Parts: sequence; C-alpha cells; structure tokens
Amino acid sequence: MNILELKDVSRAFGAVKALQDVDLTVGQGEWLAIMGPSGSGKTTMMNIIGCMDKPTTGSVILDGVDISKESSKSLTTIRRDKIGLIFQQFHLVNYLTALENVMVAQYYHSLPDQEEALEALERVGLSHRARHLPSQLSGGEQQRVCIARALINHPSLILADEPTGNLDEANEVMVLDIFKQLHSEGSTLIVVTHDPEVAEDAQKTVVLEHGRISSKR
Amino acid sequence: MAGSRHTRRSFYLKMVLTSLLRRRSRMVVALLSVMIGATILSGLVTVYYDIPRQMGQEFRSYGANLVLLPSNGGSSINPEDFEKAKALLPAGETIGITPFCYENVLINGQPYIAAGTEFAQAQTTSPYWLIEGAWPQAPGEILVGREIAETILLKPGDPLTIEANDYQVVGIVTSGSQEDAFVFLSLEDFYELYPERLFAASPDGETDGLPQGETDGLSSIVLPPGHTSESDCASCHTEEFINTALSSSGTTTTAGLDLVECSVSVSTDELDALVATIAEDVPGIAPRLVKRVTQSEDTVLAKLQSLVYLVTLVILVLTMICVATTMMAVVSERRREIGLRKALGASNLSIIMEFMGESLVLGVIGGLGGVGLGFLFAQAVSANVFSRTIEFQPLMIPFTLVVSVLVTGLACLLPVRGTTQIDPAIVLKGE
Repeated sequence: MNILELKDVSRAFGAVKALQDVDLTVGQGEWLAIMGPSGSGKTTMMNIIGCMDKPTTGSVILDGVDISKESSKSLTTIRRDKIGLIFQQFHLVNYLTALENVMVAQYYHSLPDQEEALEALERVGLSHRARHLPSQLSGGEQQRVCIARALINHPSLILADEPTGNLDEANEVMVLDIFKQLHSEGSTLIVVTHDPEVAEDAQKTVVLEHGRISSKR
Repeated sequence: MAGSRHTRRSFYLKMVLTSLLRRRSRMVVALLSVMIGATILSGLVTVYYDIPRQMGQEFRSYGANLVLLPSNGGSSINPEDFEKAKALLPAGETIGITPFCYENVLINGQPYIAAGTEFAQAQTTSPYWLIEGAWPQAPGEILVGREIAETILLKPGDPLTIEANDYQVVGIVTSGSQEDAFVFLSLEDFYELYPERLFAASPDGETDGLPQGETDGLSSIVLPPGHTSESDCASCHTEEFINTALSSSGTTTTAGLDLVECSVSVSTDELDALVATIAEDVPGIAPRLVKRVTQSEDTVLAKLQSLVYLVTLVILVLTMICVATTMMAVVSERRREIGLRKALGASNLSIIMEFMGESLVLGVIGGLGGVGLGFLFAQAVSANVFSRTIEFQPLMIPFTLVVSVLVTGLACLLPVRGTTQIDPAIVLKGE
C-alpha cells in the first residue's frame, strides 16, 4: 500500500522550473532517500510532500488524499496530523526547553502531555537533557530533540531534510541509528540528503537533477 | 475534557510567559514603553481630575466667590439668617466668611465709607489686600484705605478720630479697588460707632437701597437702588454707586449685615447647588456667585484640563507607536519560530493568539506598574506645581489597566497581522 504518490508533478517559480513531471511512489513503512546536487529540486519536492507548497501541475496523494487540491488551511491540518518534520537546522524554539519543544508539537496537534513528551525524548536518549534550553545542547542533541518532536504525534510520514547536514560523524551515526530503529518499527521515512552514506541505509533512492528524477535505485 | 482544556490553557500561558521571561531584553523595551505610557496616562488623569480641587485652593487667593445679600424683602441680613446660611456652607471647604456693614462717614470733612468687618475672616476672603503695617488685633485698631491715607497723610501708628471716637491706624489697605476709599473697623467698633445698626427695625419692609440683586465683582460690592442684576450694573463697582446706595438707605437700614463675603473651595457646579440651597432654605438671604471669579476659574480649569487631555492623547499615541515598533521588530526576529510553529500545524489564529497573549501580559504588567508610578508622578507634579498632596483614586487601577491593554493590543494588531503572511517553506529553507 502506498502512503505517498506523486503523479506528473511539476513546480514552477515564474520561468524557473524547479520540478518537472516527477512520478514517485512511497509505500507504507518504506525508507526513501532523495538525493541530488544543490538546486536540483530536493527542497521543492520536500515542501510539496510536507504540505508546505503545492505543485503547479500534477497530483500528490498522501494517505489517500490529493493534497495538491487542498487549501492552505487544510494543508496545515494535514501536515499537523500526518507529517513529522526534521530539519537540517533543527529549528527548535530557543526559549523553550527540550521537553517544551516536544510539547509544542503536541499542543498544536491535540493536548500537551508531559509524560509522553518525556518518553519521546527517552526514545532518542535525551530524557536527562529534557530541562535544557537548545543553547545548552550540542548539535546532535538538538537534532535528536527535533526527531523526538517529529515523532510525538505518531505521523504517517517522517520527512527529514538533510538531517545530518550540520552534524559531526558521531552524531550522524547516532541519528541514522534512530532512523533505522524507526524504520524497523514500521515508520515511513523520506530523507532528503546529498550524503551517499545517509542514502545507503534507505530502501529506495531517487536522484534529482534539474528538477527531474534522473535515476532510481 | 475540562482537565484537558486546562492543560492546553496552562501550556498556552506557559509559552506566553516563557516567551516574555526568557526573551527579556527585547520585551523589556516593549514593557518600558507600556509602563511609561501608563505612568504618564495614570499620572496625568489623576492630576486632570484633581485640578479643580488643586486649583480651587489656588483660586481662593482671588477672594470671595460667593456673596450673601439681603433678599428683596429685607434691607439687611439679620444675624439669625446669617447663622443659618453659615451652617449650610461645607465646613471643610469653606476658607472664610466675612460679614460687612457700611455707613457714610466724614473724616476731616471729607465723605468716606466706614466698613465694619471681622478682620480675621477678611484676611481669608481678601488675601489680595496689600496691607502696609499690620492687621488690627485689638479694639480701637483700624485699617485705612490707601486713598484716604494719601489724602490726609496717614501712616500706620497714627491716631484718627471718627465722629468723636479715637482710633489707631495700624495698617493701610491697598486693593486697587473701592476698598482704597474705606475705613475698616471691627464689627464691635462699628456697632459702637453706629449703635442704631444694632437695634434699628425695618421700617416698612420695602426694598431700599441696600444690596440686592446679583453681584458681579470684588468684595464689598453693593448695588444701588433700581439695579437688580449684574447685566444692568456694568459700572456698579464705583464709589459713586456705593455712596448712592448708602445715602438712600443708610438711615433706614435694619439691624444686621449689609453683605457677607464667602470663599468656598468647591467647583462651580457645587457652588450653583449651594446658591440654590441657601436661597431655598434661607429666604431672607439672596446668595449670588461672584461671577467674575467663578467664570475665570471655569475658563482656566477648562484650558488646563484640555491641555492635560491633549498631552495624554499624545502620550497614548506615542506609546502605541513605540509598542508597535517593538512588536514589529519582535515579529521580524521571530519569523523562523513563527514559520516553525506553522510547520508544526499552528493555525494563523493560534499564532495571533500567542502574540496577543504576550501583548495582553505586557499591557497588564505595564498598566499595573503605571498605576503605581503614575501616582508617584502625580504626587510629584502636584507637589511641585500646586505644592499640595494628591489623593489616590482607586478607579485609576481598572482604568489604567484597561487602557494599557487596549493600547498595547491595538499597537500589536498590525505587527501580529504580519505573522499570517509568513510562509514556513520560505523561512525554514535550509542553507
């Protein structure tokens, strides 16, 4: 069963065609890596899959819903309910503790639950740093908080944009281990990366060049 | 569900307060803006409402603002009516009540006016009198008007004989008005000099030339016969008219007082009410406002209050501009955070509620601080400008809070509206 299906998706910004006629399917529990050089359309594709942008043409079916036809208000709801986002720059709220950063995602989704948020931090090995502010955490720790935040609402799809781009090797290994664990537990992962080592662990890899899929593995 | 809602609300409050507390440097600027605005607002409004009381005290240096005259049916105020009217004056607000009796008198063959009065009271109702020498303290001591003193070359300490009675001049009065041609005696000396004023009875009850009708002017103003209102009495404040009044009435006056000057530190509205009460409760007395004084008071007060009102308005606008500018900077600084919250599923309304929550807290804290500091500010203004203390108005607490919250909320509307335009895909774009 496919959780995500892109059919003939194109996205243009004026005369610039960021994505052209992209077809892609991602099955439930699959781990997909999207690779490509800078300017290849990776981020555009991630924004469309992450309900933060809409294609100019084509359709995007996420969990049975064509999100290319939805209003931006509906997209916000779909994003909140179905997608867990992991960012290269972590994007933690700098005046909230690690625990509060995880609870923010709960707050917008349903109800803030401290116990559950602590469990999510425990899962990424950070329960002991729960009361620390982002400025008191290392890059790897911040990324793990970001992962805990992405997992807290049990999303259908985890979307990671260059998750190891700002990490050293040790932390990269740690983050990839978490991804492996999530995958083994049945989570669907889409990881945008330019790092072949990160893509190596994925079940499927697509390479984008000039807005088109140039190869699939 | 109630417990769940509480949890959401608690987390909302936690986010709002945490945002303010952990981002102190920026929010302190906004808070200071609100607090300074609220301080000046609260202080000026306190002063605004206290100006009539403050200035009322100052205006009393211009002399009496209420005079009691015999009503149309009588030729003078009898002591019983005088006491009744005195009892109706607000004790705490009455600066002075000075009775006057007048008679024509010849000094060195020249006609002048002798006025009997209570000197202790006259000092309170006529503080503008310039006294060269001293106020009389003992029987036989008198004040002489500047005009008389210059004519017959009198100076403080000189003896003066009036109708075979010897007196000592202790002070020369300069008022710039008709008092300069008066000789002032104590009431006791006056009645001793004119014993008929103590025992004479009203001959026929007809209106004679004693003071009646409205009065518009300084102390000791009496209207001549036939004049019943200030409108037809534009030139009444002359010695000629006073002499006319006395010459036609002096021999027929009844026992009592010709005029009573009152200096009462209340608003014009309260004075109007007082006039109505005295007129109704004491038929023998015709109370009149000294309109030249009360109207100037009203004019000055209205101008002062308008000034304070305008300054307050300007301060509010400046506060709004300052808070709006700060909030714009805050929104600009937090674009990524707002984008992140939207990426996590926050609706525009949620984001607006969070920013408005912060502005509400700023308004409340700034308003509360402003009430306290505003009172100190009002005290300082009052002490320095009016040399008086000011009373704390408890109503200023809710008033300042509501205005602070409204002003802060309004100032935040525009910047907060800008948050709805933030696109998470753009602000969260990776490097």
